[in-house]
Amino acid sequence: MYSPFFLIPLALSLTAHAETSVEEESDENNRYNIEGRIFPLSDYQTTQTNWQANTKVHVNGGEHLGFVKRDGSFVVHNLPAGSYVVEVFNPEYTFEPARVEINSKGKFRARKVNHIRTSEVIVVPYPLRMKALGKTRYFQVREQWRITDLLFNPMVMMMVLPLLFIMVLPKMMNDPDTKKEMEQIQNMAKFELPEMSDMVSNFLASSTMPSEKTEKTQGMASKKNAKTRKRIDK
Amino acid sequence: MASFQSIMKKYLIILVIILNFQILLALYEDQVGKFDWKRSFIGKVKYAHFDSGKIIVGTEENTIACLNSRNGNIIWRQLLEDPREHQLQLLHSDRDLLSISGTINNWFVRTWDHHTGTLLSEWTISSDKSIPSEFTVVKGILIHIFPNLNSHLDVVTYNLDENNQKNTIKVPAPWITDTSNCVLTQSYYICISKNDISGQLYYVDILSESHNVHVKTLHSILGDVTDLIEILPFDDILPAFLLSSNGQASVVHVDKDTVNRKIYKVMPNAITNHNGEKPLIYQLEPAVHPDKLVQIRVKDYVTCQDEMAIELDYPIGLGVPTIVATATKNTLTDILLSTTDNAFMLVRLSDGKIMWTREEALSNIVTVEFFELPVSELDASIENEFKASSSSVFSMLSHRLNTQAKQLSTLIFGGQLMSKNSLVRDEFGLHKLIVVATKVGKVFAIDTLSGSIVWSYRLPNVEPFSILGEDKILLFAQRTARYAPLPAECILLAKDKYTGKGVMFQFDPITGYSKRGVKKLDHRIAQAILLPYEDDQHLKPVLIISSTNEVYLHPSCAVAEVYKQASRLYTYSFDEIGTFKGFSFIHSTKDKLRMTPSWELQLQPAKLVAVKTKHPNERVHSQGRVLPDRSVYYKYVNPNLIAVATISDDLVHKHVLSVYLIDGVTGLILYATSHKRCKGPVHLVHSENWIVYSYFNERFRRTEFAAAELYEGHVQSNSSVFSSYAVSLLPHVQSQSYILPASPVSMTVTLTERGITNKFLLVGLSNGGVIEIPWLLLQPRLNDLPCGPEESCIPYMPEIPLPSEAVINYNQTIGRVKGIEVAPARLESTSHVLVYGLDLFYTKVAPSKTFDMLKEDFDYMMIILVLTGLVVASYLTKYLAAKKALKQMWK
Repeated sequence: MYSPFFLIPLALSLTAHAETSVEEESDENNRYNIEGRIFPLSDYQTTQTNWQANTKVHVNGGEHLGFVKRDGSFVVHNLPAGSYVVEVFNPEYTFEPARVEINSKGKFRARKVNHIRTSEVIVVPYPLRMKALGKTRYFQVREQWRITDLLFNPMVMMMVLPLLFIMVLPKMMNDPDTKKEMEQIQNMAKFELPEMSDMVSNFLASSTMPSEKTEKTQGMASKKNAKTRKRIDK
Repeated sequence: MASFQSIMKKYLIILVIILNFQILLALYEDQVGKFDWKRSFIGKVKYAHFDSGKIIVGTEENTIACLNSRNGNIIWRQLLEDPREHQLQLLHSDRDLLSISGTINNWFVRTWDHHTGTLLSEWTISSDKSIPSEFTVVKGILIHIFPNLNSHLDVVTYNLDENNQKNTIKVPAPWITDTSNCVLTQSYYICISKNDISGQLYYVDILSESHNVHVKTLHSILGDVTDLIEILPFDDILPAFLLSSNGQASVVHVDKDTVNRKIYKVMPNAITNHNGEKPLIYQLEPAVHPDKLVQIRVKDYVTCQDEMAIELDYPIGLGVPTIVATATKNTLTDILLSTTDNAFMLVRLSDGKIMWTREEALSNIVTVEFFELPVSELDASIENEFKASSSSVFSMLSHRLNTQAKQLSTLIFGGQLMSKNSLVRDEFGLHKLIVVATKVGKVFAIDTLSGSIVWSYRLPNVEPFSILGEDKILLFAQRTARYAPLPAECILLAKDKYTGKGVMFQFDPITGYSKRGVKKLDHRIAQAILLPYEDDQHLKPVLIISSTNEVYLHPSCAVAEVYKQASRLYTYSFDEIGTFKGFSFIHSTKDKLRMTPSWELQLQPAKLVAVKTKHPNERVHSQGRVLPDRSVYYKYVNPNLIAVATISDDLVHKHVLSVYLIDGVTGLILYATSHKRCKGPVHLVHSENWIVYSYFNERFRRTEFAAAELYEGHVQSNSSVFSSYAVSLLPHVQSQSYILPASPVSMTVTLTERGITNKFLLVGLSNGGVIEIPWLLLQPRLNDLPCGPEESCIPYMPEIPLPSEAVINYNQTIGRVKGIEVAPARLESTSHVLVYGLDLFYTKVAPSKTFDMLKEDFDYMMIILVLTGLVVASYLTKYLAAKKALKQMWK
């Protein structure tokens, strides 16, 4: 950001001058020329071979015109003394406008255009040096479908996290370290919630003792066999 | 300092809000050219030169351009100053292209690069004399001549090769009586003293040292001629001119003290061509063959023997052509023709084929109207079924079966394809026909889908009316294409070029067919109104008021119908000096309508600059604005409201802009405001219950927008019918003004079918862009109410942001925007936009986004995949679940 602080006192003294110069534009005989030069972006020449012909200089919204020469310079002819807004237009690039004030004695001063604080003066060099601010963006970028967009969707996150808890947490329980930790927690929580802890410990007991488990499955198998046998008997 | 920073921060926050809000409205890059198109024009051709396969032209629109001679496309184009003040005076093609353009005493001399159109040099000539002057270039010397009648020639020469060295000469020439009897050919200035055989021929070589004036009698040159003699310029390698009498002309060469007349006669439109094998003369003649219109006769330059006569396939409907330039390359000769209706075409000899035609009349459009297309034949036959009063049940059944069979066949055999090519209405009303009337009096119909010309019709010798300095031809849609067996009907009103009386042209806007052709009226037209009542043929009558306040109706049989409504019919008129008059029709009789003055308003000495009423087809959807406390603030929607802007000169404030809102029925001024030290150009937009106008503030030297909105209050006085006479309270007016950091040249507001969609202002800027500004940004904020996102209100900010994404024509700069016309589509979200000026640009805008249409990037694939995936998954899980259940059973 520019620093307008020390410029303000200067501005106040100069605006008074600017206001009077507008009043004095009655002297029609003296005609002046506004000169300047347009500085293209570095990638200018590569994209637009003929940018000079497509660039227009408008003074006061097209009242006076300037055309750009091959070296980027321009001259707007035949202007009486007064205050002018110089704008540079190119279909591809944006330029910042400048206000040029010509007093009745033929003195030139260029400053930044500020429509809100019309009295503020930020002097820019004259002859004008118009630099492209950047490429004009006319288009909106179309949204593309990306997997990350889907994953970070809050709805998906809400779905995925519980799923994670359901699927992964029981798996983690198989880990002996966590098992111990869990047991510790259970021991600590035993006093408060005896029933719950009982249930959990029962559940854990069933899953943690592999020897028992095999026995159980064997038992199940034998049960099944018994069932089939019963049916055959029937 | 802290306060400053906090202000900056606040603005930044607001800006961010707005940018977020606006970014949604921009175009995607892949949408370019999908529903928009642009046609570029150059204007009526004044000068043309061939230059190695290209054509360099200079036009009356103060434009120079380079065209491709193969297809007539523009290679480059440079728009010089405003053609209303500046005109092209000379276009000289040499090593570089030299153009001189300017006003009566101020000229710009510019040289351009042939290939790219880049400026090479520029300097100015100015003079203190305000008399018409002429320019010519002879051997690298630019000659500028001021003919002072009956006195002398003021000549200024500039040596173009030697740094524009200036030299002033005064040539005594008391023999100049009328500049129309003088020609400048190379360095010779030639005049005839009288337009008959007793006249003398005077000529002087300006570049000679002595300035000897040579005098010859016309009799010694032409022999015995009884008709009037005219002197015309003729382009030749030697200084030459034409002496024309009775449609025949003689070529006369001058060289020092000798005057040579060629023995043969040519047509006055003849032109020479010296770059072929031998020099030839080309001239246009009416064709001998009855089917053809025009032929080109080629004559030998030396002997005047007829080489050949080639009949052209000259299209019917184009105006009278003149030859502008010729060039021969190998065996082919190209001839450029310019017509009275501003068309520009290239004819290639020797077969006389027209290679291309540019309709340059479209560079100066004065009136635009959008028309709905008729339904397809099939749909029309279905409609007929309900209309035709066929008594027999069987015929109705057979009709029904027939149409349904046809419907089926179109469904199967690609009826879609047919409707795309032909002019048939689509479901959403996105395909329309634009009828435009041009300044030269040619009417065109343009297809909105492709931008191609469907038909054109030339009205001879008409010119537009001038309304507040703006050219206007009146175009009214009497009947749309909605009433199927009846064709659409449209009426055009213009002014006869010679008599100033009215010209009426009634036609079908879809086909361009006119039953009656151009009809000349025997009165001048002061005012014309399309009445909102339909007769039994669904035709809306047009009311024409003559300059003597006589009232005419078209069709005249509608008088009885209109008489019934006469007590409710009012009109107003205004003139340039600021007198408004209101009229009623209460004293009408059954067979004659009569106007009765009812009110008068004098705005003098102010100058009237803008008068706007609401668009007659506009609908207001919501009756009020809901305030944060859930109460309704009712809009004051007066259909009879006229918005008027005037500018008056003031000793203290220089200019004062005043804006009035006047009720057209009673003449009551409902609102008036003034802006001191403000001048034009004023652009005014009037819609629903608000107006927006732009002006230039001289005090702060910036363009400002002001918006005013009218409200009835918290109670609605009458919710069913509005009456201008039932005024109990004046409307509450909210107003606010803004800064526009650009210079507007034209302004309008979007229009949708039902008025539900938000409103956008479309503002044409001087840089050739058209920008959309949401009305929400301009709507006056209510003082005592909070404003924030919850209230769907954007906090007030003085400067209207103009992001580049809001430019509806993106990088397609439109040359000299003159007007913007909008029309609703049948899809509520969308409205059609045609921007006209030197170029034509058509697009569709959707101010609230296309909420009633699927986005064009809608992922059909995704939704199909997801659905099939779900179906498959559900069946799979069903199967798996069954399997599991079975297993469980077995346990």
